[in-house]
Amino acid sequence: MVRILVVEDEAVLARALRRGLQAEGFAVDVAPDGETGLRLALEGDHDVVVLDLMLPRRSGIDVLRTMRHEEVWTPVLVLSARGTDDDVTHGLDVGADDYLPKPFAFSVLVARLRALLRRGAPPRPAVLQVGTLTLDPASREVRQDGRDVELTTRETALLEQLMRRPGEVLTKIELRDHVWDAVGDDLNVVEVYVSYLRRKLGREAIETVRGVGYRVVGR
Amino acid sequence: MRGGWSLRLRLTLAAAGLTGIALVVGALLLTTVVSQSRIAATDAVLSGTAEQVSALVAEDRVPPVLAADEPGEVVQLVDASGRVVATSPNASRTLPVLAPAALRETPDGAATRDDAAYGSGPVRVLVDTVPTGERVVTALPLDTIEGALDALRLSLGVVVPLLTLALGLVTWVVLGRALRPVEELRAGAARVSDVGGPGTLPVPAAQEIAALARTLNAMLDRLDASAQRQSSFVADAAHELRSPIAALRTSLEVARAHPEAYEDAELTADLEHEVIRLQELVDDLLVLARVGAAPLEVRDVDLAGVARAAAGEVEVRGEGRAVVDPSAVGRVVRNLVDNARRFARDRVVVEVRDGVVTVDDDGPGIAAPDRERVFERFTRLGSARGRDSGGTGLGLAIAREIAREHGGDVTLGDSELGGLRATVTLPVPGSGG
Repeated sequence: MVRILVVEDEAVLARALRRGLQAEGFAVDVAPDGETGLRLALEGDHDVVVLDLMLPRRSGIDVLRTMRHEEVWTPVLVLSARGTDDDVTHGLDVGADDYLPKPFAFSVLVARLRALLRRGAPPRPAVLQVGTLTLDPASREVRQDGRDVELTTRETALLEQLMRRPGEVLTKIELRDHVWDAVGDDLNVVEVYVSYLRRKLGREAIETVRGVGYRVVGR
Repeated sequence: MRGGWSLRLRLTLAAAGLTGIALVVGALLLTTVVSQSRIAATDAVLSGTAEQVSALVAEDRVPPVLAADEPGEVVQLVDASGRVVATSPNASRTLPVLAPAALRETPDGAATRDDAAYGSGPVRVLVDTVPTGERVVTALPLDTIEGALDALRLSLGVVVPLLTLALGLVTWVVLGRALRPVEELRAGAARVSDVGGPGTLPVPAAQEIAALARTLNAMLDRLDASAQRQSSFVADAAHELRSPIAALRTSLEVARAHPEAYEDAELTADLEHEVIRLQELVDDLLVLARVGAAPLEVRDVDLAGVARAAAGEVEVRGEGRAVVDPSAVGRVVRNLVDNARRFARDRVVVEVRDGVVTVDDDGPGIAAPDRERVFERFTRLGSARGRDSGGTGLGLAIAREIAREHGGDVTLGDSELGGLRATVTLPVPGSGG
């Protein structure tokens, strides 16, 4: 049975969600504040979390950030009365998988929850990390050993591509097709940019696998 | 602009006009004084000559040719019949200065005449009677004086308009400079009102106008801050309204999709709860919008009575009076008592004395640093004071605004009961408030 955690401080809405989701065939746990919500979420036996942002004792954003930091990848759908573009952007960038402003249609909520459940819960870190190297795709900040590294947009895109599949070897063609818009025959551009990245991050940051391509390995 | 004439033009015209008038009056006075002093000098010359002649007559040594002091001066001695007895060389014995008939009617003394036989234009004539009955007539044409006066009048006629014009130009230019900051200020104000938002006016160097600009800028800043407060309040209000609406909508949608999902009476209780919350919120928003909008109807009231009516079953101790609007102050007490009851463990006490109401509870209290913050609209402190603990987040804001409208205040402190003490101060009878 699919198990849903609802973190919502408003008793009436929480009850409506519990009754409605139970009727839709889900098992539902309700947490009335951020602290309880985080504790239940970290136990990790839920398939999806419905999270309010304005919560007593611990904010929803804080719950979300802590979950991702603790490598709990349960899909999170944020429900919030704060529905401006900035609010939505922030919520998603912190690690939410979906964002639904209040008031919402219950049928839409259920459909979105089903969509999240289809995707499963693979690790989807908001901030990519391989060894001591981190990359935040939202802010485009790259850090190595805790120090900021200045990269161009293209260099960041190339590094992101490699860091999304750490330890895996990516061919030059794959990298070229995903990082450069214009697909040409010239694969040298990949070599050139790999050399730029090595200059800034150190030789060992990107390994060359002879005859195949490149990979990033955590140290 | 009124009348279509700019301030600059009006001031310039006034300055130039007044200066022109002053210059003309001055010129007239100058010519008068000059001509009078010249005539006085002429008279002195004439009477000197006449005295000399009468001295000669008295000594009976009248020469056939009389001497005159000034060039152009004519002197004649005329007997009673009008015949010229002696004359200066520049006149004829047969042509008296004044015709005998005219001379007879002329008393002794000096006068300016046009009927003298010598000189062109006005002539100053002095007649004197010597003891023998003969008369001395001396005359000096005034044309030299007139010439000098004409020259003076001409130069004034040219100088006065030129001076007036020059002054007008200078005034025009100086006023233009002086008024430029006003124009800059106006342009700045136009820019601010065009964008319809915050902005600052240029502060010119001129002291008075700089002060005006600074005052206007301070006003703009205050208006801007108040507009921002207002718009963030509206955003907060919308947000607060959205929560009960979301709860209502979801409850209704779940109930419609799954009529069996709710237990008996559970749904109606939930809906009622949310509708009451919406109603309280809307009521409080309206109260807040009305504070200060209508004049208070204050009168000397029994404060304890007002507090008792507002506090419901909570005990009210003490007696006191205050000069207030009883329904508004009732609202203040009710909000504070509601707040206290929400957080009290089991005791709420209201105490009244003249102009003061205190509401004590034995709840958790509020930490000193947070005590001002809770008066802000929609502030709810975290932890226990969550949204579902009730209240709209406007109660304290309303209480303080009403108290301040009366000239009093609401403050928070520690209660002897261990929780929070809210103190309302209000004007008392005789305080003039």
